[in-house]
Amino acid sequence: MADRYVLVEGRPYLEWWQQQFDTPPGTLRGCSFWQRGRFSIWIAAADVDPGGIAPVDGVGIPFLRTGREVWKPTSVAVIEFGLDAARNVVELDRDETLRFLDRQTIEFAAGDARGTLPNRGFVIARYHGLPLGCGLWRRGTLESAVPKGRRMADLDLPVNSPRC
Amino acid sequence: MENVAKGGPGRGKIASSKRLTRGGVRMHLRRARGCAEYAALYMDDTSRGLQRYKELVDDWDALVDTSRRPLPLVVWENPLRRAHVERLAVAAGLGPRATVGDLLASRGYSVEPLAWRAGAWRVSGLDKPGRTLEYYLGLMHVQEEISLAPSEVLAAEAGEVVLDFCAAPGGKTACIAVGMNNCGTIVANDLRPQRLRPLRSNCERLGIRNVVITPINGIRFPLDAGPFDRMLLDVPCSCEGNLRDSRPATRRGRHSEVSGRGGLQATLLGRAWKLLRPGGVLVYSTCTFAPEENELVLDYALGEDAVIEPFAIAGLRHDPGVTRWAGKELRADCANLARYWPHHNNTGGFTIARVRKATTDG
Repeated sequence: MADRYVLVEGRPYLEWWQQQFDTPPGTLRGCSFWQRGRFSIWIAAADVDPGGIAPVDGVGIPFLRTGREVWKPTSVAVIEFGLDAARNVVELDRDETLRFLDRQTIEFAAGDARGTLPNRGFVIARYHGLPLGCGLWRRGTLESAVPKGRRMADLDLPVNSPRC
Repeated sequence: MENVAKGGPGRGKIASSKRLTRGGVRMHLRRARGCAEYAALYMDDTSRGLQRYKELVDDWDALVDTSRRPLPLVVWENPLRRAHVERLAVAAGLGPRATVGDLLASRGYSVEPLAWRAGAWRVSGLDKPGRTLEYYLGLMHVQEEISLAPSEVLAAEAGEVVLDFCAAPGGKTACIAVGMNNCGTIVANDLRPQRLRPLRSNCERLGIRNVVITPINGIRFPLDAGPFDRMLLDVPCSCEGNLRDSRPATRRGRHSEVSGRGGLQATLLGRAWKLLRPGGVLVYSTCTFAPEENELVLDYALGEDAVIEPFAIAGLRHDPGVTRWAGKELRADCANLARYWPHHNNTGGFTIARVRKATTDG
């Protein structure tokens, strides 16, 4: 059964995204925010108008899950808006990228410079600066949060250098 | 040959082809053989095959020959993700102006740009396009070439309100959204849940932000939801134009004789017409050749407030629609339909009509 989508004030989500990922100003400009159920926020073009049609099964793309103590961005939103994020970003090499997209957990060596993130939280996994999806970072490990339906094994990558 | 439509002898032959696949035959060889096998079965069947359209085709032998070859794989670059393409191209050492076509070519795939549409390519050697990073990130979409035509004909603009009545799996919806630069509203409707999943997935992957997805039976689509500026009505049909597509989904008993879907198609068109604003444009399309699912439907469902407009896509050849079929005279502007035969452009088959609703003040 399709849920109702309610247009909501976007400021809290804009501020959270900015604070979490430090993207350039205007990254989310011209967007509207829609709430489905209690904990799901969707992002759409500013002038999207469902026009009173019911039922609705989606408005724009899923953006954020707010059901837990820590809000979780969707991998779709991370790919859409995370290109120039400057905070909470983990760059992956080729092998790590393939494992991340296969929904595996990646452990970083103790001396790895990338292991300087805060202890726990959702981060953007990137490959050559391209956002791949959302991951959960905790104590030097990155758990892939790529949705099961988008899991990719044996991906054909266009860049062949062994390290990022 | 009645069993062809029910999958009798036809299904047996296809199944035998699939057993060969399990034996290790490469995918593109399987597709080539399956396509030729099925085309032979379908086109040589005089009672139910395409031979009933022989008088409409300029070069029957060329059509038969083309239909026995598999469809070229076509991908188009998603302009909404241009910044991502640039980043990837630079990382691959190709420079910021490189395209998805360049990225694929740099990996050894054979890439040929489409003559009639910028930012789209025929690619050969790429067996699993869905397993590329470009696809995963929504930098490109895989779509049958001729399926790109309806959105070109619709030509929706930024800020308009558009209804895609039978939207799944979403390739045409995405093309419309790209044309609108993610501004305005596209209501993408489809009835069946199993078809809504790929629609949602494709819209999310490609970053389509101006879409509202609805799971409504088109026959009962609420009239107060309109009016819409433009409308794409890509109705369910008997899929004769998918003859070259050897994927099981398009072959599972759907290549029947003209399926008697005309009633549903006319009902959908009648409902859609009520939702279109005066002066608005409706594009009616099917991937089938049968006049019973195209010209006859338009002739039956459209009134005097409708004009089927002529159009042409530069670089894409089409034949005119028919104004007489099975002894019945049809409205004269049915000649403005465009019939895309597989052998003219090396594509699948398609039929498209662009219909404008008269303004109330005449």
